[in-house]
Amino acid sequence: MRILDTELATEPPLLAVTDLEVRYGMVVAATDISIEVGRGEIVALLGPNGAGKTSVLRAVAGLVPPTRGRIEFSDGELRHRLEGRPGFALARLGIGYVPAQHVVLPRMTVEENLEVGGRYLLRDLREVRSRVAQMLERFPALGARRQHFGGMLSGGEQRQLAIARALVARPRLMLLDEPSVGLAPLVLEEIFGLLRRINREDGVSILMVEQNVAKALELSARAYVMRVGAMDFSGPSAEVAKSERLSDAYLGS
Amino acid sequence: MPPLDYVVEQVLIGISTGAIYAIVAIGYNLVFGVMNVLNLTHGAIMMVGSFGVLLLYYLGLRDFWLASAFGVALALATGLLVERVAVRPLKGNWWNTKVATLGCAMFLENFVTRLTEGRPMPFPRPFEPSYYRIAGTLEISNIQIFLMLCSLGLMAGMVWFLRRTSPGKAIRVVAQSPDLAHSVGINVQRVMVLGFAVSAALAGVAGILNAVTFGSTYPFVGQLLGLKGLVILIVAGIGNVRGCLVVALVLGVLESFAVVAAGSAVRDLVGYAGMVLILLVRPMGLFGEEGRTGKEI
Repeated sequence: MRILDTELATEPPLLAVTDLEVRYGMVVAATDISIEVGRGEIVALLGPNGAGKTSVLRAVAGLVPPTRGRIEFSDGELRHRLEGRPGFALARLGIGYVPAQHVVLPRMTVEENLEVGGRYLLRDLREVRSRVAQMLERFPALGARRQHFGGMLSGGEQRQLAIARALVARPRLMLLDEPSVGLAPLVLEEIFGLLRRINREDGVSILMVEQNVAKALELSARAYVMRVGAMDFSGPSAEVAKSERLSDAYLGS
Repeated sequence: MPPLDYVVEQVLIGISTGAIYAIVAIGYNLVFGVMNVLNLTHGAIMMVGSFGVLLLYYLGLRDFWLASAFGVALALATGLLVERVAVRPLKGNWWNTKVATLGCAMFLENFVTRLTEGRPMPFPRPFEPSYYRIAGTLEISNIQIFLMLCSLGLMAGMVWFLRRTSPGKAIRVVAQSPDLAHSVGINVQRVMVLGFAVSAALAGVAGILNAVTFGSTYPFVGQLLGLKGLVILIVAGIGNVRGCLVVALVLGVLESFAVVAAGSAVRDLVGYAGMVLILLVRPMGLFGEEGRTGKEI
């Protein structure tokens, strides 16, 4: 029985990023980045503008090929190496991604946006329809606007739609790039409440890049702080919030 | 006031040329929307489609439908080849692909000129023409009806394909945002190839229908037709399939009236002058979105 205990203790995290490097030509956007996201965990990736957070997230999402490092995703017993795989292959493994801008398909209706979220990932069309119906019910704001074009929605509704679209295919991990960007404070509360809910109710793990440090630390269990292309420090969010290194990272010292 | 059946006749002629223009413009639109590449080989691919038909006749297979299927297949294969040699290696770079696809067009046109000595070649008909009297002096031939049904049917088919089927929706998603397409599990590279393939097949059909309309084809037939398609794309607004259809039909009808009013010399003037006037007022085209102007072309 002891052996089983150790096995449980060393169960690999859902996502493990090791020594990742992202370059754009000669420019190193991020280097030596290691991040872990446990099952059911919300993890924040913080840092001032230009620290390379979004580059790391895009590499994890398969949208930029990393120049070095390892990205591992555990799917039950299976472990998948992700680096170098295109984004659509990651989506098929259960990794959802919501970019910071242009989060919806502007010339498709709310309903079509949701449908697209499942059509290429779920097995049959009936399942897609029932998932879409569930989402429309669960997000009343979207249900009321199902025939509106994505581009006509308000910023907060667009963000809701993007999150709902990613949920349609039942992802295990969601990668969010600045979910608060451009939102009014009240709407921001709503979106963060929504993230907490999908984390609890759907068991979706979340790795988010965020500019709103206070809110992100409130929501997340752990946080990583980056500074000019490298990892500065990390820890449980409550501790990171109190740390002096946090303000140093943002104000520079 | 000209007699009514005369007006109706011009409208019918206009619709059948306009419908061919529409197929051309939508072919551009697919590649432009999905890959952000202006495929200047499009016109030459139309020509390849029509010469594919002639090739099979030359080889002794004198069946119009079989030869047409071959012509469309040849156009499709040419399109895929262009994508492979002139677009993909350049990573979709905006300027480089424009020059490279223009080069492909020149190669194809001159290659076919060498083979045929550049003379216009008579083109077979799908069936013997017969004329039906509709009213008064107004007559319509079965070939005209065939052309109209073909192109309008194809348009309806395209709208259905893009709005209802999975591959069609994937094309629209990639056109709106490649990153989002990845995130919902769409193989973007494959959709780009698909867009190119559909576009090239449409070009092949347009080339054949155009050759049937005029009863002949020649190696540079795609240049003028390709330019018309581009004008329609710009006037309609980039990325708008139904807009292309409307503008193409209107242009066809206007041209056919211009020809009877002032002779065939002014035919092409209508489209270009119209484009300049419309862009002065609406730089994004008639049905286009703010921010996507013809300047991109």
